[in-house]
Amino acid sequence: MKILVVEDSQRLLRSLGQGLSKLGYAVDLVGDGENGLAFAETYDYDVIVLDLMLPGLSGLEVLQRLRARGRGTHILILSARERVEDRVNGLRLGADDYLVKPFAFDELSARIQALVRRRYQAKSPILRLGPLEIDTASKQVSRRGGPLHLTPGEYRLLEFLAYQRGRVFSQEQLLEHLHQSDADVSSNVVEVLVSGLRRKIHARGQPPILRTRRGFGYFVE
Amino acid sequence: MRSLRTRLFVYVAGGAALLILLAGVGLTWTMAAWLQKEFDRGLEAKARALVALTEEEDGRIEFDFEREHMPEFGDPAGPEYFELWLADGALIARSPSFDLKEETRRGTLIRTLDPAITPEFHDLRLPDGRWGRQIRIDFIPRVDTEDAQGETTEAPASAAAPSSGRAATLIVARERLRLDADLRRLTVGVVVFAIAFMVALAGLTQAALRVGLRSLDRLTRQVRALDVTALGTRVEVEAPPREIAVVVEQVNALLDRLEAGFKRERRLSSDIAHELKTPVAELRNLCEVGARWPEDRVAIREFFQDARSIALQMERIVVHLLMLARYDEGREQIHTTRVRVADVVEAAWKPLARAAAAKRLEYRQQISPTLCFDTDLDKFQLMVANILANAVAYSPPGTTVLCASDQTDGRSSVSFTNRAENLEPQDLAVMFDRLWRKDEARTGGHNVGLGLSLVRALADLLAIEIVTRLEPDQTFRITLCGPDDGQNRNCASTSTPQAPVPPGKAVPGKK
Repeated sequence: MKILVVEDSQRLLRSLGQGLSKLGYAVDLVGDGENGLAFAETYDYDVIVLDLMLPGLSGLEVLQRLRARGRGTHILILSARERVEDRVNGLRLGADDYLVKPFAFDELSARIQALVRRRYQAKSPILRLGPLEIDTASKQVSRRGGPLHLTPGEYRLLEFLAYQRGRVFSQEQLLEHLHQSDADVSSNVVEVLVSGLRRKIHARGQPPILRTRRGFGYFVE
Repeated sequence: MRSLRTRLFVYVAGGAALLILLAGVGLTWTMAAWLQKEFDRGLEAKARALVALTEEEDGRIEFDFEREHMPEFGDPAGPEYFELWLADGALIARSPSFDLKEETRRGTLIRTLDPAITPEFHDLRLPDGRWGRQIRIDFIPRVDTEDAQGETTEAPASAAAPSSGRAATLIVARERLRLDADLRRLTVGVVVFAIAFMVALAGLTQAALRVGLRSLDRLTRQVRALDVTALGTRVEVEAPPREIAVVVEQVNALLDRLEAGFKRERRLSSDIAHELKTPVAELRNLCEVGARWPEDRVAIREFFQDARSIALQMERIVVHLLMLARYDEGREQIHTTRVRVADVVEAAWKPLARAAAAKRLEYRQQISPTLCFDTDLDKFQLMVANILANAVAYSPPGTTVLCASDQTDGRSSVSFTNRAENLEPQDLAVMFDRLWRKDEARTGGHNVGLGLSLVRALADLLAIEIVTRLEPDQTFRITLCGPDDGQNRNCASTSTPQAPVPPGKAVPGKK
């Protein structure tokens, strides 16, 4: 899952980036409104975490412009403004959630997770792919009750494909969605991740879960 | 609570009613007196006519009354009465009207025969039972004498001397029904007029109050509708009278100040929230992420560094807020010495020189070496340091920071000039407010918006006047006008600044 965090406090930005990356998200970090708007319009994010008081372009302006241009990305406002009017205004302008600073990191991650589920219309945090069970809350995968030990990259790939099962993604698309936008990674990374994931999730005698459509990309059924 | 309208109505209508009442009573009394006087005059004329009929001839009193000439004394519908007496009590004549009724035959009009010099009028009950009025005249009947030629001459009736001196008393009475009826009509007329007038007056007063107090009513309605949720509302009364115009003006001025005060309070609350909540959020997030993945040593080390810088930032805020609180209390000690301004400015610039060089800022100091202020060295230095720190922080790279002294109208001043790209004229009014920052996003934690607040508080403490000015080319100037009478003092013995600006290590600035 890919997340954009737009926040002018560099220290908060850094720690949020660290924490969310550890949770398996590909996180883009931006420190001002104008760049935030540019990133949000350029890449396909699952969730945007948006501060309101930003230099250049305010968070509300970013929100309004994104909605005016038809971008439906789920947006969580993160702000020190706690008045009811501020929260109501943010939600009325098109935000999907509002969290007041200071906040608990667990609460933020839970809200992000909820927005991700909402995007993919999944009510439960548990995703099932045949014998596989993916717990998106604890970031754990099991097969018939037995835990599988996936790397964060493998988990991100499996969760992303599982949320959009049946849909084929090219290596470039997967690369963009699984890594930071400015990360310098080669497309081989995807092949390595797919290969490792297949080894761990496929069982002998069972139809493959992660499949390849030649010339197009990968998908799960 | 008594209504102004009611009070005015009571005073105006009540006062007018009282006046009408007094005028009515006066008019009634005057008219009644006039009517009675006219009545009495008629009565007296008749009495005089009867007196003229009385004469003394050969020692005998003769009364030459003929009924046909004065039929009223025998008119059964409304008879008038007279009696003529001599002073010794002998009845000379009595009007025929006394004969009309047997029961009145024995009655007489006169009760006493004390001599009266002037005619006397009395009310009395007439022999026929009606109310009437009588006149009494004491007189000496004229004497009827024949002169030598055989012509008859008459002495005046009032002249007593040539006669035998037999005084007579004439009493004439007549009923006063018409007089009383006239008086009643007059009274009723006055009362009716007074009532009608008061009713009309009440209506007119109400209407006048309604029209006259219309502006006040509008003002009342608008003032009643005012509340803290609509402080942008202003009172508007169309063509207000002078008295109301003053109230409207003052209320609107008060609302202006109130709105500005509320805005300032809201902004301050919001700024405090941001300045404190953001670092708290940062700290909390650092702690929670660090505690969750403690194995990431590199990240943990960075988190500690961040936590330290957050602590320092919050310390700066607290230190400066406490300083402001101390200055506000007015209990800060001031140690006044003679301070050479050029030395203070130079000392304040030194710690900023490196940051200025990094921005390629040119520093020019054109301060007269003889300019001295009698002020508190440390506090004045703190003021200058904050102003210069602001100039360095917010001047665009490659521009100039100019410090210059001036003497105008006998008053010395030192000014600090730099470019301020984003500053707007309206910012000058609020730039000294606590935690105000031009950057509404309040990005960065070094400058929190307390520097100029400190400058203002110190200026108030040291009686230094601050003048700010923004030129159209975005040149910003802040001028400190000396605390003394403006004379350039002899700086032979001055305090020298020892160290540059020490408040909480760093000097926050703002614009």
